[in-house]
Amino acid sequence: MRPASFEYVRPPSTAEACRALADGGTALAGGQSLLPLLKLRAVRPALVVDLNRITELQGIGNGEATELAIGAMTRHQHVADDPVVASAVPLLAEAARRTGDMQVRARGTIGGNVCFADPRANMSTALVALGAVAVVERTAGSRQVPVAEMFSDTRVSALRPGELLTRLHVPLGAGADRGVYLEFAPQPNGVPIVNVAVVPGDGELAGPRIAVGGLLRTTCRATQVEKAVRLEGATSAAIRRGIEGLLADHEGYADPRGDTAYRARLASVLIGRGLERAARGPRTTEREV
Amino acid sequence: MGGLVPLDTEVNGERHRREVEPRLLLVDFLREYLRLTGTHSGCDDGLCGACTVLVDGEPVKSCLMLAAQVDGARITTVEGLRAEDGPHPVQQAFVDAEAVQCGYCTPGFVVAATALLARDAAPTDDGVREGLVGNLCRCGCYQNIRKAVRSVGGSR
Ligand SMILES: Cc1cc2nc3c(=O)[nH]c(=O)nc-3n(C[C@H](O)[C@H](O)[C@H](O)COP(=O)(O)OP(=O)(O)OC[C@H]3O[C@@H](n4cnc5c(N)ncnc54)[C@H](O)[C@@H]3O)c2cc1C
Ligand code: FES
Ligand code: FES
Repeated sequence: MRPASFEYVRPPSTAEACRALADGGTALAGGQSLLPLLKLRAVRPALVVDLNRITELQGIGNGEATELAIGAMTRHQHVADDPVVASAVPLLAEAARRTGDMQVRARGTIGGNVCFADPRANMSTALVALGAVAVVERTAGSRQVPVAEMFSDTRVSALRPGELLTRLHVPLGAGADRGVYLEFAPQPNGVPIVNVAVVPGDGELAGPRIAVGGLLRTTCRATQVEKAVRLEGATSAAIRRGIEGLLADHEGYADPRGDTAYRARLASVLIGRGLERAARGPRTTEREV
Repeated sequence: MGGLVPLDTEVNGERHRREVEPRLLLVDFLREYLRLTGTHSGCDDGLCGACTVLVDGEPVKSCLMLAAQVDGARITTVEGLRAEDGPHPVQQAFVDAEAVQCGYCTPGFVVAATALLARDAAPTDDGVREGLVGNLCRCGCYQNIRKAVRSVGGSR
């Protein structure tokens, strides 16, 4: 299939991109999720706003020692290869390394991964566990949204019309450098069935932060599991009870790869492993599949 | 709707200036407009890698990119890998290792392997497997493809 006709602009700056989006444009980042939809004509934008010329949206900086700022147009391969990411937030590097294949990583972006709002997206799960915050701009101003609140429903982001995701702020410390990302994927280059990210807490007050993808209709922070584990310890019974709590409060996700019950089982196993490894400390790159 | 956009790009060392429809895919620009039919279209959905080309040295699936997006970029297709005096070492390695049956996947594999070797000059077996998971071969030549890529890596 071939896309229906559209107008196309490639603005050089965030400000101009916001103006084009305010005119009803659809953002084009790496195109690794949007192009297949354009070709199927599942989406038919009148105006496509190509973000690839906006250099201010690209790259990783840690001007502030307390956080890492990642431009929305930073490619998955860049995140996977970046030495600062590898030492400060290794789970994010691992999530990027396991996203798609070499070609997908060369084009796909961290911002696109979040904005596409697929409940199984690698980067979203890692960012939610890290407590990352999205910086969202529009012609009239900007707002900051925790990544955990960037998803309204399966493949529906919380962005309002005319909004552009420009940066992701990843807080450092609080165990961020000891977090783990795990996934169960049927194919090495396809989206996982379930993924999990665990960031250990730093002491008595804060327990581990857990995010799960592919269990609910959106990527989520597994607060019920965190609570059960804090109260009862990281036993499989506690984890299962936490997951039941999540599913009592939210609709589960299901697709031909697996129903919600199967996803719940996978999530409990991966969370258990994630907690164990996060507690143990040393990084591992061992494959889950 | 869909006014034309200017496209100024270098493909295999040759400059091309055109006006194209925004919805034109890179794979169609290469195959239909430039008649560079070495780049194949397999799944047409980003899954098989047969359409892989290098854009400013980066491996991309040309079925998931608009032609308009390569304005100002340098493209290398499988046709452009060849040196003056003969095939590219990766091409020769595919011949030597008999890494080709029907050949439909071969251009994509050769271009992707070139990109992989640029990142990692001597990949291990696992390195080749992981590096080339974005390329599928319906004839199942994976073992020989891996040998071919490793023979280039090893010879460096
Ligand atoms: C073969 C294949 C395998 C894949 N495997 C995986 C995998 O294992 N794990 C995984 O997580 N993903 C996977 N993906 C998806 C991939 O990660 C995509 O790169 C990502 O989901 C979308 O990012 P993109 O930059 O390509 O965005 P695009 O496709 O360009 O855009 C996606 C959506 O987000 C919007 N958007 C993008 N950027 C912005 C922005 N800055 N502001 C506002 N809106 C924006 C677009 O308008 C569009 O609606 C795979 C894709 C393919 C083709
Ligand atoms: S034709 Fe492009 S990936 Fe299959
Ligand atoms: S040789 Fe036939 S598809 Fe690979």
